[in-house]
Amino acid sequence: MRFLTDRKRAEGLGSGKSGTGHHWYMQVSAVGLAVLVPFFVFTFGRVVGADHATVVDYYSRPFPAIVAGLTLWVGMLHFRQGAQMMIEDYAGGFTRKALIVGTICLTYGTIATGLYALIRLAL
Amino acid sequence: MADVNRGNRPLSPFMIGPYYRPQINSITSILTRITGNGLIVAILLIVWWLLAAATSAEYFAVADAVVRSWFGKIVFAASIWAVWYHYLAGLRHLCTTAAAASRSRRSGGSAGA
Repeated sequence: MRFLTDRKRAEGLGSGKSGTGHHWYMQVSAVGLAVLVPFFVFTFGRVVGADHATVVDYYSRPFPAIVAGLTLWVGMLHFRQGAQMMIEDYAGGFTRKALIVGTICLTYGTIATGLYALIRLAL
Repeated sequence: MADVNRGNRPLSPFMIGPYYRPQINSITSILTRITGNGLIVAILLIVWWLLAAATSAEYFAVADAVVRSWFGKIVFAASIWAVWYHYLAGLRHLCTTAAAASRSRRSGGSAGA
């Protein structure tokens, strides 16, 4: 005997769940990165390949350092959401959960390392 | 809830190839995904390079040697293409979403209509 209604059987099984918020975050961070990425590419591109003293001097200045910090922060959070989208398309069950947790760890680890380096360069 | 599959949900099949002929739309879509996720390699290299610069001149010499090596050159050459490809694909995505939203408001119908 089945006590469940058809509606109850289907509830919570949709693919989206928090998809609207996820999509909106991707749009907002994309607009932010549309401004940040050109600044980052041209500031970083100017100093990559230079010697140590020049690099330290360059990233002690506020503009390159703040651009690099913001790009890293917003870019990694954008990556975290985008990578989760890819993982959810290709992996299921425990593998999916493990990969998403791994992505989150990588995201915050990279942000923390980058900000630590930038602050230390600035001081 | 015995008759409900709560844990082992099926994945959507990978459509390009076995079900759909590859077309310009599907190829730009998959390239956007590949470039976006692939950029993590350059980001990790840049963050390591910054950390090395912040640590000491000796450590910086190691990271800088990797950045200047054939590996670093391939990563940065591929990434500068990937970042602009992903950038323009993202702008296109924002435009099509905005266009779909304005169409939806005008007609009172769905965004896909």
